[in-house]
Amino acid sequence: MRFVKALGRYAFLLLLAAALLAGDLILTKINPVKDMTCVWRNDFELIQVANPDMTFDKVFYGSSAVTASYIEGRNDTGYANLGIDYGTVKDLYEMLEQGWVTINSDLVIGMNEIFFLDTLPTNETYPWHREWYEPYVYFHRDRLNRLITLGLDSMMDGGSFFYADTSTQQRTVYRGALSDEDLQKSIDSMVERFGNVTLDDCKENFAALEQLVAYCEEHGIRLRGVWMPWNEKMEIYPAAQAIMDHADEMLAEMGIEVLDLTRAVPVQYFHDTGHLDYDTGAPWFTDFIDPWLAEEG
Amino acid sequence: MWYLQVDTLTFILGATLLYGVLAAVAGRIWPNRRLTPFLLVFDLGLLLYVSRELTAFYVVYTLVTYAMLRVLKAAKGEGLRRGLFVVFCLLCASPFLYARFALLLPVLPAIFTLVGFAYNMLKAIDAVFYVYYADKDIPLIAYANFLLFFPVMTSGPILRYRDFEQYYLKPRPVTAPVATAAVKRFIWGMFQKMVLVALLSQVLTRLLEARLCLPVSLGLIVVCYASLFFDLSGYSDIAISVAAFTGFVVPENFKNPLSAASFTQFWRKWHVTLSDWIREHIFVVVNGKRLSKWMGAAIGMGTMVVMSLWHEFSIGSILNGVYMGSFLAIENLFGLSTVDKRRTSKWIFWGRCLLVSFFFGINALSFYMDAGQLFEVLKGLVRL
Repeated sequence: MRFVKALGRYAFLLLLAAALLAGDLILTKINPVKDMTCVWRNDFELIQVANPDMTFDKVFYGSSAVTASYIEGRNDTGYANLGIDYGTVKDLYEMLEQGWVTINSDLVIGMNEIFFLDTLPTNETYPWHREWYEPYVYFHRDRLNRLITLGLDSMMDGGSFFYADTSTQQRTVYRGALSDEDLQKSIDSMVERFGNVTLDDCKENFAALEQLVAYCEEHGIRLRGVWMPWNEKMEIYPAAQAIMDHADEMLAEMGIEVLDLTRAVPVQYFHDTGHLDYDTGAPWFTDFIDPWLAEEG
Repeated sequence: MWYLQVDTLTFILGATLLYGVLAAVAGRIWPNRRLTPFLLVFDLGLLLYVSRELTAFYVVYTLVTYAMLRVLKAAKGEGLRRGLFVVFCLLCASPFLYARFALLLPVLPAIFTLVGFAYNMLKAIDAVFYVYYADKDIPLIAYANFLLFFPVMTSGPILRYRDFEQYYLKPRPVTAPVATAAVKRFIWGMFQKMVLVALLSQVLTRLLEARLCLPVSLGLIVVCYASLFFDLSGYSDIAISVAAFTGFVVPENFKNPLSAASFTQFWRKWHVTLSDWIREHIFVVVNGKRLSKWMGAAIGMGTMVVMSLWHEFSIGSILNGVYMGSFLAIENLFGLSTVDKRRTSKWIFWGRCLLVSFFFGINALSFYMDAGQLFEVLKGLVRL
């Protein structure tokens, strides 16, 4: 009887806690944001929408350099393009480890120097960045806040609350080529941002590379690496070379096959420093790499 | 603002919950014991979680200021005590003054990591006042708990030692009604800070884009007043509700300021703990409690200027302080400080409330726009 009375006294608090917990669990399970066509979705969510079970036999993973360069389904290799904005090797390991993606047989990682950079800004909305103490609504707060505030703005202008239609949103690819002047600006900006990085700035990603190799061995996944193309108008600056050399050494020690395409793509196929023009460069690159991808292990 | 970051908020709520449960269990086993001294563990844990430098600063600051309290208590002779009292008050504020001057003079290195120090410094000075005027000792653990009390660590409300001590020695039991009220208040505080302030900021942006005329300028004044209120009051609600789970009653910071019919009354309803602190610790002490109206006017002006400088060292802040202080000065000189609601016609009373809110709203504009925009908004008041 006393217990029932105590329950009654704390009824509001208990019901509130139960509602919050249940609400969060349901939202996490349904993950409505990925299906919302009124918010801008991240690359991972767009892949999820196209592949709801997120299970692949063969995966070509990397950053936007991979997204922009490899045309999935162009030839008959069966590789899925899993390029995501700001994707690093650590992101990949976390995706696999937390079960966001399942790979059955083959994994190829498209690498460049920033693929190993711990300090690379990431897309905060990738689900593996969510901490255990972050409620679903809090984790998606920026996009939900933008949805509400910009929706209200739109209404005040006489428009609809759902001002954005992202039903046809695709991962970003690049078309055409930058002018020499803009390309130079892009090169200068890269060197300014990443020209002074050291191996110390890659510790976590190098550790993740070791973990990834172990994960692949454990799960029977054949792992290979590709050094993604660099525009020949841009020199490989010393900091990048040091990172690439170190990664090469690690991969060689662990017996991982690596294909070096840093200088393989003719300059006319580039959009900027490392993204290919999707209309000309990506088909060329896909046709070039597919025979290698198709090689049996 | 640790309450708005989910990791620190989780720490705070987790610590509060854990402490609440431990206190309830301990209360059953040892009814005459209290757990309040152990709150220091959570204070230091939170500080350590946020930053080691910040923890080191606050530990050193606590020990150094506590040593001052000991010296002051041990000092003999009124002259020596008074001298030490003044010096120690200044020393308590010295990191704050240094940090403010370092912002003005970039040649000064930023040697202190200060979070919430503008508030905690006032608590340290209050402890100096307590030892000097009450001539009582403060135990080290009680003092450290007072200074580092985590629910009010970053932005107040400002506790006074005598209020803190009351609940430190005899915490209020966290009963079901207390907990329920605290949770409701927490939600309302969060709603103000996270939702209302964000929405008002959208409205503010839209209004600033419009052609400035009387209705738009009035709208801006209302929006800025409301934004400032929800921002500060929301924070206070959160802090007060979290503190309630530790058995402490933290003083209210906002008491329906819209019902103030004079600025003298307004400052007893808006950011109460700060204006009370300044009035009680600086001017009342310096001048005694029986004041001529000229002295009252000067104190009103001085309080507002000091309060503005506490927010920021800048010409704008001084002008802001003079603007708000001039209302207090005028009220003192012309005997308009208090209004008896029962003896005043309803129209006059609410008319005065409206005027006070309007003039304070003009002050609130300065928190959300630069001087040029503020001037344009004021010009809009005389344009149809």
